[in-house]
Amino acid sequence: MRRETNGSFKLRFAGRRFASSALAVAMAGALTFSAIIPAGADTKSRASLSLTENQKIIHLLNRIGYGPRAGDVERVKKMGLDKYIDLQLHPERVDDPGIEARLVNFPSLRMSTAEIQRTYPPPNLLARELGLKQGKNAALQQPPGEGADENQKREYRQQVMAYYQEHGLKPPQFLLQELQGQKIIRAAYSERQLQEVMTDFWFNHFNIFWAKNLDRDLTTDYEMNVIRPNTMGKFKDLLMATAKSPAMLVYLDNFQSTSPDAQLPQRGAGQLQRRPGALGGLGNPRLGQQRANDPYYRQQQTDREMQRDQMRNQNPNPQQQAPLAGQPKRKPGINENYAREIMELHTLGVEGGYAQKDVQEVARCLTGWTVDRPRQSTGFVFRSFMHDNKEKTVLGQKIPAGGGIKDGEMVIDILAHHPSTAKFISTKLVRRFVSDTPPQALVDRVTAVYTKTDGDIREMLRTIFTSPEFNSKEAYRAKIKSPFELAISAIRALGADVNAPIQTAQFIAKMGEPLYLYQAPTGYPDRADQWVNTGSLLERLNFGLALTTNKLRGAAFDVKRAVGSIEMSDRQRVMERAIASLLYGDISTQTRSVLDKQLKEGVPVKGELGAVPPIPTGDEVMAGNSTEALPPTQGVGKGQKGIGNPERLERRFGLNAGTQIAMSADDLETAKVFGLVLGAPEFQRR
Amino acid sequence: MAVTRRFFLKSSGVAMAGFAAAPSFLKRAVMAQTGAASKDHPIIIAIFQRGAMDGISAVIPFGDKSYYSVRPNIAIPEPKGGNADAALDLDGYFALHPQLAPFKAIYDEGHLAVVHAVGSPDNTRSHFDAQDYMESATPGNKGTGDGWLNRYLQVRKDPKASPFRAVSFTANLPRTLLGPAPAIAMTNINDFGVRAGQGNGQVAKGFEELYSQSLGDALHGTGKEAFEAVKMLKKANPLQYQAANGANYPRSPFGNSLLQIAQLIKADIGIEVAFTDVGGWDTHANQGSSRGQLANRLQDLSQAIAALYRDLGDRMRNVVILTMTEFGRTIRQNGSGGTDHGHASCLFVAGGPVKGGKVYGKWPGLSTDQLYEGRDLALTTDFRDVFSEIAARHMGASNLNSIFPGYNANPANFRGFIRS
Repeated sequence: MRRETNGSFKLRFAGRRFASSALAVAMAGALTFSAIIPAGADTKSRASLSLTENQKIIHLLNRIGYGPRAGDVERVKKMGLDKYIDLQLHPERVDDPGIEARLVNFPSLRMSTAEIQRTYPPPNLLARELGLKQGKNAALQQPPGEGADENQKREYRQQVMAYYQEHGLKPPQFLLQELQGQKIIRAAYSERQLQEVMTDFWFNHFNIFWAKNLDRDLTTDYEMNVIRPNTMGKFKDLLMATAKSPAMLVYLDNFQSTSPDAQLPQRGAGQLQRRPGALGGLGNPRLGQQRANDPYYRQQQTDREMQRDQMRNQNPNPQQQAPLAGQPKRKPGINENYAREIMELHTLGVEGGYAQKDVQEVARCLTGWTVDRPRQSTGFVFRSFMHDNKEKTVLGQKIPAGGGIKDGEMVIDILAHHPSTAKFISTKLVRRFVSDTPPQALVDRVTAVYTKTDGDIREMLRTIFTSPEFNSKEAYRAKIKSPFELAISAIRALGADVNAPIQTAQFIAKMGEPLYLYQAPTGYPDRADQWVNTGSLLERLNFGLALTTNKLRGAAFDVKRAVGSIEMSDRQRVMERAIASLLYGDISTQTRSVLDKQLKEGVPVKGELGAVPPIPTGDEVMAGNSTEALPPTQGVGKGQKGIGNPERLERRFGLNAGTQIAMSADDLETAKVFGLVLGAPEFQRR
Repeated sequence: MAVTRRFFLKSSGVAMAGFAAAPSFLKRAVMAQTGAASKDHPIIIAIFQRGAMDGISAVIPFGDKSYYSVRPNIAIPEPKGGNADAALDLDGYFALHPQLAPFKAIYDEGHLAVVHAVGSPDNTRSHFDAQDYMESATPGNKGTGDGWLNRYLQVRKDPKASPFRAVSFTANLPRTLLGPAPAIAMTNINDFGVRAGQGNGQVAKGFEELYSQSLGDALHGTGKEAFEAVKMLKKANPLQYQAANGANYPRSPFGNSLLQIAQLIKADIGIEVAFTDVGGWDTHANQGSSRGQLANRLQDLSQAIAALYRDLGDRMRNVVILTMTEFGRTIRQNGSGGTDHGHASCLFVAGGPVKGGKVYGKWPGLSTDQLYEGRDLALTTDFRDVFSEIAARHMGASNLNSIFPGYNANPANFRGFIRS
């Protein structure tokens, strides 16, 4: 424990040195794949102020991508840095063979939201609306809550399971697994590395929480069709796309924000009250065409479906759902949530110069921006009857009365062109790509580019990547990798083959970054202290060990290929190979001496590895908010298995959790050397 | 999994029966004063309810006539015997939400207090800012680098402190514990360490040495802390301690965190500050009333805290449990059957040192002219007066100005819920 506190949580860069020249010579002879030893990488060049050519390339690959694979540094060197940057800025020009083949087992990625909702229905919805209603046992018609004993619950679960299997359906948990899986696979294997980094960046900037109600069904569309196509275009287009995305409208509640003066047609309402159990998504034969075209009726359906869905997530107890049926008609009202966050988090920043009054005015402008029949078609729709059509003033600009949908579009235009937005977005980008403490001069230049180019993300990025600040010693290895970055960079450096990423995703969660499950709209903070604490650091070390020793199901590391022609028993050379392939020989003298000492004392020990401990899944994250009847989450102190559990999913639904590669004792010893190097402080940084 | 209502009633019945017996930690507390247990050190368990709990649904001011008119659909029915959905009367004016029933026994016993109309004087309605301000305890000032619990650890420097002096059951260290004083974040006691199977020791030693240099950066400092902690935890073996006194933790992440906090406390490894958080309070839509979304959260909260209280038994004599939430919610319900971001809320303090059985604070009233900005519960107690009372009177800190910079933490403003 660090008892003397030096008061500094800032990273310093002390004592990092290159591998000795002697080592370089040794390795040059020994290595069959591209170990990159900086020419003249000794203490003399360390004293100079600029990065070596190789360091520049390694740095670039660590920042605009998820780290170098074997051979990448040489490839970029041959191509030239500028050309590589330019290509990465135009992902559509980069060939990406093989990626689609790796994603073939993730069908939801290619489905429309309607298809997703048909194929991945939540268990309670199934139980209520489909087969189980006609079940033999009346007590099982509803998810068991009060009074249900364990036997009943088990029987209920079995019936729902059987229905899933008979109809080729899957529980929504699969959607999360496919989303997390595609993110891991693309980051690890796509040639369009910057596209993956920017997808991660913008998703986090416009964060949504997968487990919030219908966002379980909508997040796939959000990433594929809202974030991915807009990563490097104009910021305003991205902002508009998120503003009109069902996922964001649900996440920040704008779908139900209604002017208090809304003119509410009365027809339709009575019909709805009559059949509280009916869900539009599963068909209501009594729904007349006329009513179907009635916007008020349809918004009521939107509300009901969303409510129903919320109840589904919140509470399986039928008695507690009863109030829905007789619930008095809700008075429409404004919801400020999205209006606040679009300014605070998406554009201006919290000190960007807006007041509570602006939040209220923006909320008025955005009334009527909602989702059409979320369980059916799930598209953005503007409903004028919900809209506040009076005049508003946003950030000092008048928005004339009667603008309808144009009000919200004007707001987005105002926000996208606001100087605070230019500054806020530029600062965040520089923080991501350069340093936790963004150099002000660079932020200013990127801000100027934003202003000049109407928020052209590609040009802002180019300015960053070609800046002296980016290519400086101060920036080199200055960022602590996030758990996701750590995992992917390890997979890439090792050349590991991940074909079933479920356990990898779970380990990333364990290290502190559950993917698509950060609840707050802020997204994950982008700074070292978010990722470095004793618990998470230990997990990072454990991840390296698990990956190299093939403890992670669905991820295979071929240690024989990694050492090539080196004799496994030649421990010194194995260690040098590990240092070369994972850290390009660029390690501190301290790290080197510790590794040498480990060699002498014998790093690895033969024998079986302990079991991978239970790892938090989305279900557990949600258990705070959810008491879904079907997946009992990990109990306190007990490993109770529910359908959210990968083993059970695998058994029941043929989920591919991947295989685990058996290793010989010798291979295991060698693999642990790689695991140890992955745990070195140098590999924690990018 | 679902904790059913019947289950809940059953277990709370047991809980009340248990508490009917004499609170034996009081006897022990007397002994402690006579030196019989002088090794005891004070412990605080801080719980952050992220998302902003609706204070007037948790502790209902049923005596305030405006309450039922501003909330036609989501109000909790006033106390009435035989109605399971009615609020639980505390003092003839305030009542607990029916799903907070596990708190009632502790309140009646005199070891749980409510502070109402409490919160941050800053008018931000952003979760992010308000949590930041409450955890740093410097409302309005973003520049504060460390959290207030970390500053408590700093001012009460203890060179012999255990690496487990401050533990957070969260994936990452919370803002409250960020700062120069060491603190540990974990989610599961069992997983804390290097897992390399057989030969673990050797691999762990390798990692330990990689991080043994005093480079003074975050990475190495963290690494050193980590390996000292691993060794100590292994020796103390906290998992040997099962829940005692019939304590029944809910099977939720929050319940699991509190169970493990109890295990660490029982293992006597020097824990002084424990932290965890619990989400789901941002009830913008379909908040529900006696039942529903908010009710489920309150049930989890109170069951888990009551279980912890019971589990620790005698040890509660040195423990204060403190809940907090970043702000309250609008007094009027919104168009979605929910409530939006508001201002003041309420909090709970429980433990042996707490003078409970009372709702502390001045009630500001709910009529429109009494509301903050015409919409929210006004603030009558600055949260720093609550935090500083605990820091001073329970934890024994004397240097309050260092823990609460820029604030005149004055004992005259203490609400008096800690026995002096």
